[in-house]
Formats: sequence, C-alpha cells, structure tokens
Amino acid sequence: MRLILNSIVGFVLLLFIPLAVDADNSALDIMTRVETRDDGDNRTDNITMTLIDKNGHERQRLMQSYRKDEGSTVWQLIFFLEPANVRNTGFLTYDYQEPDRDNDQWIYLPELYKTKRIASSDKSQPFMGSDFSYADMNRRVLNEWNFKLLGEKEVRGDATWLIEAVPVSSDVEKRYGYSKSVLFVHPELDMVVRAVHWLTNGKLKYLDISRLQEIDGVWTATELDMRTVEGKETIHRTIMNFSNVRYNQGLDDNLFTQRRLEKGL
Amino acid sequence: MIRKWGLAVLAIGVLANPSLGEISVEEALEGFGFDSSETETDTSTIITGNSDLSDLDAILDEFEAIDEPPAPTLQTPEDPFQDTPRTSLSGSVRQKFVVNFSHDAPSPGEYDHRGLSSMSTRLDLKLDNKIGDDFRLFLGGHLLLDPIEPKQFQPAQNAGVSNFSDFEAELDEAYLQGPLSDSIDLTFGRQIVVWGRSDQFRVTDILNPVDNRTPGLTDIKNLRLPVTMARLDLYSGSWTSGLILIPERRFDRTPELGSDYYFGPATLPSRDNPGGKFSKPDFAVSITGTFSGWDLSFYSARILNRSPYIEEGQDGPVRKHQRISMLGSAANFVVGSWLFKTEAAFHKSLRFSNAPEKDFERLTALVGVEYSGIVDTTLALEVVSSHIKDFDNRLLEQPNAQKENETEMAFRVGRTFLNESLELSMAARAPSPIGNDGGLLRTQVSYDLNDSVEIYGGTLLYFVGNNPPYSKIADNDRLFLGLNYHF
Repeated sequence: MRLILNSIVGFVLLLFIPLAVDADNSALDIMTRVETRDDGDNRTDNITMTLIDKNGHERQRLMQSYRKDEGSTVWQLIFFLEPANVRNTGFLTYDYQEPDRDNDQWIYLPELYKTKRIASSDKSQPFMGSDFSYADMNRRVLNEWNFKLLGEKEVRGDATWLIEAVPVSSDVEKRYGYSKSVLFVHPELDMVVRAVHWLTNGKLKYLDISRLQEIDGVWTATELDMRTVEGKETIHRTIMNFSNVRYNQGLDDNLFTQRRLEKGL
Repeated sequence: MIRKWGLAVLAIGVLANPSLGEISVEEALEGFGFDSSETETDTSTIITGNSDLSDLDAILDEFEAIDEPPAPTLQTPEDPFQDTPRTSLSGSVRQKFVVNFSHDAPSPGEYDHRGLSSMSTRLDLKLDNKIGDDFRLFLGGHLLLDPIEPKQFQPAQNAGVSNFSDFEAELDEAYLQGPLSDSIDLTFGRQIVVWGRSDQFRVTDILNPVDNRTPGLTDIKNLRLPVTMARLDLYSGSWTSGLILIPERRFDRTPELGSDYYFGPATLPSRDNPGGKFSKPDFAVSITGTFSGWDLSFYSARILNRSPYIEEGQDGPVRKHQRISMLGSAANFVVGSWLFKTEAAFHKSLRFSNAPEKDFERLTALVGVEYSGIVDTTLALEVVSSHIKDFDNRLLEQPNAQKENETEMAFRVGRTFLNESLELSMAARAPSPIGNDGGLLRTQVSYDLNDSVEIYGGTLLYFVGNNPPYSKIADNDRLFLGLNYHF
C-alpha cells in the first residue's frame, strides 16, 4: 500500500489505440498509432480490484478515479474507498509523456496526516499489491522500445497482430521490469487485447482484456485480467473492473491538486 | 548486541532477487492455452477477419467465448459504488499485548515491570458527515482499556501511582472544514497539522503535542495529539499559505510515576498552567511551494512549548511551559528513485530545568533520503543535528542531559511479500556516535488475514548508552502482538 500509483486509465489507453490495417504497417507504425489514439478526456470511473492468490483467497480494493489530459501530461487523482484501513488514502499523479522526465506523484496518508512526495522513476513496482505494475498503468514511451512484428494470432476468433517489444537498454529494462513483451493488437478495434510480459525475475505476466465497452464514443476496457505465472503455475491473479466510466466530465483543474488530495472525496 | 543487529542483516538479506532463465515466445503463449505452432512468422498477410467496425457487438461476443476458464465471479454487488452515503461511520478495534522481557527483579520499594506490561483494548470511531456541497464535519474519538498496572515489589507508603493507561475516553479530532472562497479553506476545531518532511524526527513539526509515554511503541497514527485550531489555507497557483490560531493549551504526554519509562523524581511536579485549557492563542504561519520534482516550505510559529521545564516555585518545583518562537524550512527533491529531504529550524526562548532563568536558542538541521528502486521495498535514512547557542554546562546534567551539539540518525527498511499481504519493517534510531549513547531497534511483521483483519507482532529493543534516555530505559525491551479489525 505504501507504493505509488500511476494512471490506471493510462493503461486502458494503451490497450485501445486504433490502428489502421495496412499492408505496409511496421510494428513501430502500429504502436505509434496506438499511442496517438484519441482516448477520451475528463474521465471519471470507479475501480474494483480483486486480488486472488494461488489458493483462491480474494482481497478487494475499491477506488474512485479522476483523469484529465493537460497538453501531453495526464493528471490523475485516485481515492481509496476500501478496504477500511486505507480508506481516504489518495494518489495524485502528473504523468509526463517526455521520456527523460519522471512523473510527479504524491500520496496522502490519513494516518500520518500528511502528503508525501514519491520518487516514481522505477515503474516495475507492483500497484497496490496487484499483478499490475506502474509500467502497466502508463503508456510506453515508444523510443524506449524496439518493436518487431512477429505475425498474427487469433484471439477469440479474431485475428490480431503479434508485436514484440524489447527495451532498448538495460536501464529501460530495469525501470519497467520487463525484458520483453508480446502484444496482441486487434486490427479492427485498433487496440491491444492481450499481452505477455517477461519479467526480469523470470516470471511471466499474462494480460487479458475480458470486457470492452463503447462509452461516450470511446472504446474502453472495463475489465482486465492479469495473471503472474511461475513455471506453469499461476501464483497470483488480479482482476480490475471499471464501472461508472464517464468521459467529458469537465473536470476542474483544481481537482488535481494537493488541496483536493488532502480533503478527500 | 550481535543478536539484535543480526535481525537487521537477516531482513536485508531477503532483498536479493534471483533471476531466472529466459522463456521462449512459444512457451509463453502456451499460457493462454495456445498451440505454439499456430504462431505465424509471415507478416505479409493482411488481416481481413471481421473487419466491419460498425458491428463490434459481434466482436465482443467473441470475447465472451474466451478459450480459458472464465474469470471468477466477484463476491461484490454489481456496482459497490452506487450508494455513497453523506454520512459514514468507520473505525477500528485493536487488541494488543505487550510483554517486557528483559527487566531484572526490582529492589524493595520499586515497581516490578517484568512480564505482561500492557493488554490494551482500543476502539476508534470516526464519523464523517458532509454538510451541503462543500463542508464536512469530522468527529473522532477513542476508548482504551488496559487492566494491566505496574506492580510494586513491596508497597511503599506513598506510592501515588496514577492509573496512567487503565482507561481513556477521549474526543480526538473534531472539526468543521470547508471553503470560504475558491482559494480559501477554513478548518476549525480539534485537528492535527503536520509540518516538515521528516518521517522520523520532529524538527519543524511542533504544532501538535505527542504521546511519548512508550517511546518507539506508540502506533504512528496515535502519536500526535489533536489540538483546537482555527486554520485558514490560502491557495494561489503553486503556492499554499496557512494561517493558524491555536487557543488550546495541550501538552506532550510523558511517562508517569509507575511506568518503566519514568526516571524522574519520586513525584512529578504539578503543572503551572495559568491560562487553563484555553487561553491567549498561539499563532503559526506556513508557506509551501510545490513544483515539478521539488517543493519547499517556510514555517514560523510563536507557540507554547509542548515539553515542560521544571522551575522552583513558591510551593516547590512546578512544571512550566515557555512560549517559544520558531523559524523553519523544509524541502524535498526527487532524482530517479531517490527522494531527498531536508529541514532546518531555529528555536528561540527555549527553557531548560537546569537553567530555568535563561533563554536558549537552538539551530537544528536534518537531511534524509528515501530509495524506492527495489521492488516492494523502501529504504530511508535520516540524520538530524542540533546546536545550542551560548551553551550552559548545567544542561549536561540530568534531567536535561543536553549537549551543546547533538546528532542522531534513524534508518528504516520495509518490504512487502505475498502481494502486500505480509509486511516486514525494521526501524533503528541512535544518537551519534553510534554505540555511545544507546538507541532503539523496532522490528515488526504484519499480515492481513483478510481485508478487515490484520495481525502483527514484533520486538522493540533498547540499547544501553552513557546518557539518558537510553541509560535509563535499556532494560525495557518489549515483545508485542496485536490484532486490528477495521470497519
């Protein structure tokens, strides 16, 4: 819980970026279009995150999230509603899209009565004990990865492009915690619908988008399933469910401030 | 000593993270239930598939037919967020057992602190009520019952032991909060305001008194004591200003006679508090600027010192509280996974028991760093140093035991396991040079049995030193075990 959070919604953005299908597509072209998709703005939603251990024991976190684009920066404010021992804890993130600039992040800890600034360079940290890392929650900076089109693969009856993403340097690999990813990009929906991530500790993470909805004209992943696998065994699983997703809510800039972070919902 | 610090070495050792062998794409894809032979390497194929974008429902239907077991049905309502109440009641119940395991048998007339030293049950309740669109009324309080009292080895005639922790029923935070305009917030009532950046030392954090009855053992959330304040926060761009009036006179809670942390005279002098519970208000001002990658604060306060000094009065010694002045600053800046922090404070009009006729000035500076570049792990180190101007050698003696120049350092490491359901933390603190004046080491393990119940336990070890407090409390080593239920 002490660890910081980045944009959950940002993750969704990565998954739903439209691609035009073209014979001349290169992997980088596809991922560039993924990055530049119109992903909606002024978004509010509720998040239910269910953590399931290998014995089937479940824990649950409920959150309320607000997100706004400010130029190339994404502002995000998240309040924790459950469990009770973290209620009113809040995260504020300014997610900069510039490759050499770290995000600004703050966490308000009601039990300490203070807002703490968080060093956010390392994106490989798990988000709230889940199988999602902060890297999963943010867009990839394209020039930090080498992309390669591997071929195509059916996902639930639809063909998808298979794109391999390999970090350009060991520094990037350390920061994201992935030595490699394979992304399943759906050419009709122009989005990533599945992914496999190779962790630097030898484990694998499997992402599956299990529910999509068109909301206010924006295709949105409303259920994500991430499993961490060691050998052949799923050692932990997280299901992230988004509800009450709304775009174009006219969110005030003052919402994304420490003032609001400390006042809570 | 070796045994104690060995725990730290053991904990740090678990930070190592093994790297396993590479797994191929084909092997990985089998995790989705694919046959790896299906993977195409010919990228010239143009996908046509179900290319009608207007008919995405059909595509969504295809997702329902996922080729692996369906996700488990969540045990929550379809939408747990629909009925967010305007009034919420929350809280916790805590049962905590503390055993003192290193005391020797007492001398005649002394208290016997061996064995179970606390068996407290604490109920915390918080009522949060929205008033209108913007205002909020918050009420918090607690009940605490602890039937364990210190036992006198051989009762003395005038034991005078107060029931220092047997029962508490207190109103804690109680405030009304809301905006007066787009850029001004008012918070009025009993509240806690934390100044500074340090997590382990209080350099500029002087507004609220603290509960220091069991140093190192008090839960962090219960450490600061709320005080009645009228607070205005003014916001302008990247800057925030705070104007605070503090009419309530509330002081640090310190160990009392009968506690094994008490090493004062046989009876504690009465407190000289002429203004009563409320009197002429203290005032405090803060200005904070928050920027990308760094922030900066300035503080100023004219406030009653929460810690007393003892002065001889007409009817014997009394505890007095001097009004002191403080100018301070604090800053954070981030570089990669490193968070650097610094604080400085200049205190004026300080009084000490050994030289009560004289006002002293003290300069305090702190530097600290936190590292978060290791998965699931936080490391923090802070060093604080202070200098008393125009030092008087009388301060070297007890009960002040103050040096002209003092340095103290604190180190904390925390790591979570099992997807943050298990947490191990260790915090050490010692005056410099390490080893001369003792220190303390707190080790704690906590485990979430479920979303509402947490069990925790650990040790608090004190190391003997040449000077107070550790020369006096080194045999107070504690073993603690607790259960928290949050609702």
